[in-house]
Amino acid sequence: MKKSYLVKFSGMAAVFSLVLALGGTAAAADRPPVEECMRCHNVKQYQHELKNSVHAFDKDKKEISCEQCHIFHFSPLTSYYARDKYYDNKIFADGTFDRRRMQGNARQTDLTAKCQECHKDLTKNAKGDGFVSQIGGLAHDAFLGKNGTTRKTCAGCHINIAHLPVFDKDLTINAEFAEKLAANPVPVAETEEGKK
Amino acid sequence: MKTKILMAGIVATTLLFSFVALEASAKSIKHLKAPDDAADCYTCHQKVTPRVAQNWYESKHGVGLMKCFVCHGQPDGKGSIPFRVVPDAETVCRKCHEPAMKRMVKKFGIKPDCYTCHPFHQNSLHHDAYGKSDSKN
Amino acid sequence: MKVTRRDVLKTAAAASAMAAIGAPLTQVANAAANEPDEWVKSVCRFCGTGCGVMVGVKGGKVVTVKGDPNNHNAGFLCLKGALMPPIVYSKERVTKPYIRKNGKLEPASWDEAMTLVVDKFKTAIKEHGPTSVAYYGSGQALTEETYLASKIWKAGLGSNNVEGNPRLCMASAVGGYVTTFGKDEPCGSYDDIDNATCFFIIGSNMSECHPILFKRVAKRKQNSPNVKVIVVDPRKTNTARIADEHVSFKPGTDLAILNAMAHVIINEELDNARFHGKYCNFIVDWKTKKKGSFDDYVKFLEDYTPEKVAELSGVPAEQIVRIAKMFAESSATTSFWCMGLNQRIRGVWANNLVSNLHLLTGHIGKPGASPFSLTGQPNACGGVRDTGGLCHLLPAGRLIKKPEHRAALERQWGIPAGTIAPKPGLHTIALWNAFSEGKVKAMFVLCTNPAHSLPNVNIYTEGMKRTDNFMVLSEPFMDAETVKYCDVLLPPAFWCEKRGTYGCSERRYALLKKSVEPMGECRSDFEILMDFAKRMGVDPKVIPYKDVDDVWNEWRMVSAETPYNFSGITRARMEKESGILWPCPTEDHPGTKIRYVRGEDPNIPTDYKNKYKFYGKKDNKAWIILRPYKGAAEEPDADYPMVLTTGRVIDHWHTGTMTMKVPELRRSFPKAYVEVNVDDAAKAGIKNGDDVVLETRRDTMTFQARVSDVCRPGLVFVPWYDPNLMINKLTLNAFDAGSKQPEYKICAVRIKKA
Repeated sequence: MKKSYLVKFSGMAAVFSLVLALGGTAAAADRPPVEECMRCHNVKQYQHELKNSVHAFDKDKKEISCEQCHIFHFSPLTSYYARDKYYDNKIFADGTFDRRRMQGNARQTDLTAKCQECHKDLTKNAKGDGFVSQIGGLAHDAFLGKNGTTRKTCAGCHINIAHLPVFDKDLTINAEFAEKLAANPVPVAETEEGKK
Repeated sequence: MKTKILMAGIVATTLLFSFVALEASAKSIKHLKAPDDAADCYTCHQKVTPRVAQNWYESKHGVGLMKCFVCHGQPDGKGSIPFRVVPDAETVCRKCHEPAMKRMVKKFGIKPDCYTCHPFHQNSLHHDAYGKSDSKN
Repeated sequence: MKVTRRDVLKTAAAASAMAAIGAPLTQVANAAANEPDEWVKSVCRFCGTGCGVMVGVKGGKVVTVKGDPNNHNAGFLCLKGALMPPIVYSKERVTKPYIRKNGKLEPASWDEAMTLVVDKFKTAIKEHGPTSVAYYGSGQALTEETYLASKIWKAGLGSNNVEGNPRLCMASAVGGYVTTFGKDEPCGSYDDIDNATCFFIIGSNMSECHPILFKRVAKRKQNSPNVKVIVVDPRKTNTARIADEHVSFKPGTDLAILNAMAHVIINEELDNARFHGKYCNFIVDWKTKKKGSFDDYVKFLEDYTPEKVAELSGVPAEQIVRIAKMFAESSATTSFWCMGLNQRIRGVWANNLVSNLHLLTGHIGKPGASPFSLTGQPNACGGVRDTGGLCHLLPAGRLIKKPEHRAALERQWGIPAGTIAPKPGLHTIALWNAFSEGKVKAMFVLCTNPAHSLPNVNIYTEGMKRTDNFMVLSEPFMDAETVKYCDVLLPPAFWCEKRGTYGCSERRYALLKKSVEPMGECRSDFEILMDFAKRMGVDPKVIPYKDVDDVWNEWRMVSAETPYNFSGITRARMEKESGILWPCPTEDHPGTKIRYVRGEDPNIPTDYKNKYKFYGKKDNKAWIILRPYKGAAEEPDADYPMVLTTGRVIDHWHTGTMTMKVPELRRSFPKAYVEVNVDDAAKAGIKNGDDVVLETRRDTMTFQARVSDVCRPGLVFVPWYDPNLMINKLTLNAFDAGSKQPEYKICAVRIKKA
C-alpha cells in the first residue's frame, strides 16, 4: 500500500516538474538566448572571447549563442524563489568563476551530439571543405573506437575553441586565438572600470 | 578444511575481480596504433593533450629535448623500454638522475617513487625552465 | 574537503602504477628483474661531447646504461645515449665475414676473407706502388685502432693515403687552430661553460647535436639570468630558444659578420690592447705570412662596417653592434661552433675569424673564456686529430711534409730513417676521386659509411661499383649503405664489446672497458688490423703489440716529447678515473683545463716571464689573421634561387645506422623531410606534408615538406640520416683549399611542389 503511494507521488512530482520545466523554458525562449543568459551571467569577457573565436559564426554566418554549446538550464523551482534576487542583477560576473575547474567540467560533459549538429563527418576538417590531417584522423579514429579507445569527449582535445582563459593563452595551439584577442581587447566601455 | 576452501574461494574471487578490473581499465583507454611514419609523440599530443605537451615543452626536459619516449616508451609496446604512463624510477629516472636520487635517499630515506615530491610535467623542476608562463598556477 | 591537484596526482600515480595502460603488472616485475649484475665504465658511442656512461651488464648481455657521475656529464645522458642498448643486439649485426661473389655477399671464413684482402692489397702494391692502397678510417674508431692503422700504412706499407671521415667533419677546425695558435685542439674545457657570462654560438645547433653541453649552457643561463647567449644561425633552431640574440643571416655571409663584429669592437674601444699588443701578431698576407700592425687590421676592417655588412648579410646593423658589444663587454665569453663553420669552402677562415675576436678582446685563457670548436664524432679529436690519422699528419701534431717531424717519429718508432714517405697522401675527396677513377686500387674502410656520408655521393657510389678496384669494409651493421658496394665485409666488435680509448672535444681521454664478449665471429678492429698487418708482412718491429693497452702505452710515450704530452695518463689511472685532459705529463698531474697559460699548462715553465705563451708559434704570439669575406662555392642564382643546407636532428646520429635500430628513435623521425619557410611555402603553394621536389645541379629528390619559421626565407634544410633519402646525392663536393673539407652546408637548389 505504502509502496504504490510512493510510486504515485513520485510520478506526479515528475510530471509536475516536467510541465514546469517545459513551460518555463518555453516562456524563457521568447528572448534571444544570449540575452536571457546574460540576465544572471554577466560574462562580457566570455562573450567577447566567443566573438573573436573560430566559433563566432556558424556556416550560415549566424552568430553562435551560448545554448548551442552549453547545456541550457532552467529550474523553475529555484527560479521562482530566486528570480528577484538574481534576475537582471547580473550576479555571476566575470572573475567569479574558477575557469580552470569549469574547463574540467566542460571536458567531462559529453557534448558530442551538440558538436555533431555542425561537425557531422569526422573525416572532414572543421569547415567541411577538406579532410582532416593524418594526426586528426588518427585521433578521431580513437574517439570513435576504430583504432584504440579514449575517454575523451570532443572538448577533451578541442579545448579553447570558443573561449580562451588567460592561463591557456601561451599554449602553442592557441597562438592564433590569443593573437586575435590581443589585437581586439574588450572595449573600455564594457569593462567594470569603464562603467565607473 | 572448510575455512581453507573459503579462503581459496575468496582469493580466487578477488583475483578474478582484480583481473577483470585490470582488463576493464586497460580496455577503457587504449592508445591508438600509429603508423610508423605518423609523427613523434609531441606533434600529436600538443593537439590532443595541449597542456601536458606544453608543460613538457617549457620544462627543462623540453628545452633539453628529452622527448616523451625516453621516459614513457612506446604505447604499442614496440619500444625498447616498457611503455608506462608513470615512468619507473629505477629503469628510467636512474639513467640520468642517479646522483640526485642518492642525495634524496640520504636526505629523506627510501621513497617508493620520485613523483610524490616531483610530479612530472607540472612541477617547478620540469617546468618553467625559462621565463614564467601563466599555464603554471 | 579540499582536494588539491597533488592529491589527485598521487591517486592517479598509484592507480596507474597498478594498471599502467597497456603495460600489465608483469612488466613491473621485469623491470626489477633487470637490475644489472655489474656496471662497466665506458663512453657514449655518439657525438663528440664524449659523455661517460656506465654499461649495465646482466648475464653477459648489455641491458641498460646510465650516466657516469664522475665524468664531465655528471651522470646526465641525452635521449640517444639513454637508449643505446638495443643497438648492440640489432638483428642487422654482421656476425661473420662475407665475400662478394657474382655481385652477392656470401658468408666466408675469416681466413678466406683475410687471404683475399691481403692478396688484393699485395697485388695493388706490387703493380701500382704503395700509393695505390689506402685506409679510410673514422672518428668513431678507438684511438689505438686509428694510431695502429696510421702506423701500419705510413711506416709499414709506405703509403700516406691514410684518411678518414674527420676530414668531412672538423678538418677546418684543425686548420683554424693550427694557423691561429700553431697547435691543434681547443685551449679551454667544458668547465668554461660554468664560468662564462656570454656564449657566442655560431654555426652550431648545440641543442640537437651536443645536447649535454647545451644542457650545461642552459643551466648556466637559468641559474644566472644575466648570462647572455648569442646564437648566430640562419635557422631558428631549438638552440635559439635560450638566446638573447638570435642572428639570422644570409647563408655564407658569416665571415663578413665576424669581421663586422671586430670592426665594432675596435670602434667602441672594447678591444684589449694590452693583450693583443703583447701576445698577438697581425698577419696581413697569409700566403707570404707577412706580419703587419694593428693599424693594418683597422684599415682592413674598414670594408666591414656594420652598415655595409648589414646590406650583405641581411642582419640589421644595430644587431651586429649589439652582439659585438655583448661579446666584448662580458667578463668571460666562450664561443662554440661546429659544422656550420667547418663544412665550408672558407672553413679555416671562419675558424680564424672567431679566434680573432677572442684574441682581440682577450677572452682567452681565463675560466669561461675560450674559442671552443665542437666535434661531431666521439673520437675525432683524441683518435684522429691527435694520432695523426690523416694524410698530411703524423702523431701528436707533427706534419708529414716537415723532414724534422718525420725524422723525430722515425726515431721514436725505431724504424730506419726515410721509411715514411715525404709526400702527403691524398685527402678524402681526392682519395675517393682517385678510387672512383680506378687509380687507387685497394681501400680499407673501417667504422664509417662513406657511401652515405660523402658529398655529391652519386659519383663515389658509381666508383665503388667498379670491378677493377677493391674495397674491404669493417662495418657492424648489414644495412649500412656502404655494405652494398664493398667487396669484402668484416664483422667488427661493436662499442662495448671491445676495450680502448675515446678522446672528446675537450682533450679528454677516457677508457671504454670491454663490457661483453663480441657477438658471433666478431673481432675488434685492433685484432683485424693486426691480422691484416701480419699477413701483409709488415715488419714485426712496427707492430710489437699483444693487446690494445700496448698500443696505448706506445702512443703515450710518443706524445711525451711533444706539447700533447699525456704520458701521465696511464691505463691504471684511466681504469680509476673517468677521463683526463691532456697535457698531463706525470701520473700525479690532474690534467689541463686551460692551455697556453702559465701555471695551468704544464708545457710552460712556472717561472716563464709572461702569463700567456702561445708556444705553437716561434715567437710565442698567436696570429690574428686578416681573412676577407668570401662567399660560398655555389651561390644561389636565377636557375637555382634557394640555398640548401643539411644537418642533424637530435634523434638520429649521422647516417642513422645505429639510431635507426632503436624503435623509439626510428619512429620519432622515420624519414628525412625538407624544412621550408612559411613565406617560401606560400609562394610555391606548398602546404605542410606536401611532397616537394628538390633539384640541384647534381640530382633531384622528393621530400615531404615541414613548413615552419625555423629556416629563414630562401633557405631549405634537409637532415642527412635517412639511407632511403640521401640528401648527399644533392650536396656539393667543392672543398676548402686549406683544410680540404667539403662544403656540405651551402649549395644552390630550386624547389617546387611535386
